[in-house]
Amino acid sequence: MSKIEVDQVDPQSGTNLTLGTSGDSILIPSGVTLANSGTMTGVPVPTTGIAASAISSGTIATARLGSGTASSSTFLRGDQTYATPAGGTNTPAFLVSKASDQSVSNGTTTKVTFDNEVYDVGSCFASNKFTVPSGEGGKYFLYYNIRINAGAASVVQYSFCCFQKNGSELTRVEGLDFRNNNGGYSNLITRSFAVPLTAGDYIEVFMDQAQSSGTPTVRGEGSGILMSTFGGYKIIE
Amino acid sequence: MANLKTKVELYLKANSKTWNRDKVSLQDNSDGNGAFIASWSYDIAEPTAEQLATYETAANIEEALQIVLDNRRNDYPSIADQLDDIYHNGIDAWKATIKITKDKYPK
Repeated sequence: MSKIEVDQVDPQSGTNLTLGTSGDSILIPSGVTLANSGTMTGVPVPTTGIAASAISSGTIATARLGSGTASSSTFLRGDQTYATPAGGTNTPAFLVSKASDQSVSNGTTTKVTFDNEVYDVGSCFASNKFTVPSGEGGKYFLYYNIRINAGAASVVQYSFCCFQKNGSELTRVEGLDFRNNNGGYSNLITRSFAVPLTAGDYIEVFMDQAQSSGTPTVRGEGSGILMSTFGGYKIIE
Repeated sequence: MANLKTKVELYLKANSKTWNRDKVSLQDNSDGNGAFIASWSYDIAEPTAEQLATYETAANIEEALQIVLDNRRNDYPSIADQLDDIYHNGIDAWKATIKITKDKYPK
């Protein structure tokens, strides 16, 4: 074995310099630094030994991070797959109100009419009732606020509101119950309720107020304020 | 036109019964067809439309009377004030005070 000590090795002609021949190994001993200030091509990709801290610039292709389709609507999970995150929207959803007053018969359970749609996502409200659209069965959160005026002081005997599902009473809220001691003038009855419904089920709001005299009135809009409303939305499960 | 509830109450009274909302419920579906008897569990027959119609006049009188009674009740001085009136001014003065309301809302 001979040793050549030179400061630089250049091609004897042309611009290519070849080290060794096929089958040879070029060994770089411990403690030796191979410093590269130029360009290296054809370097094999190392399969081990690259520290994460060594990747200090650039962007790693999403395909190198996980399987599946990477997009603006997917996220990389812990199992290194791209997936659409869980969640959804609370629809169908609706909110309706009364724009005008509704006079009702004394002591009669009366369907409350709603003549103003604040919003109706999914076209689920029509003809004074909420109907579950096809394919939208599930749990629904429903609520109402019903303002009732007696029209005279101290004449109310009792007052209640209820949800009716498919024509049958589902829940009832006794707003006032003066029995034989008539009282009151104006009252607000509210209720919220979560209920499982199937496509085609419909929900209506009914009220009832008995008075010793006068005509009960379900109040509509007053000075731009919504007084009687009915709303609901599908719960994300 | 008299209220259905008033006519039903008169029908019940004529049959020695009183209104009990656990035994009768009236309903109006807001469809233009008006109120109807939705449920009935008294031990007397549910009144027919023809039977209820016979109470129309009496029901109108009853409703008018009830307005008078409600107006009077809201117009009378409080019980405390009436007792004070009797104590300080006597029964005749109290009766005069009450008569003002009765004359204001005659039957």
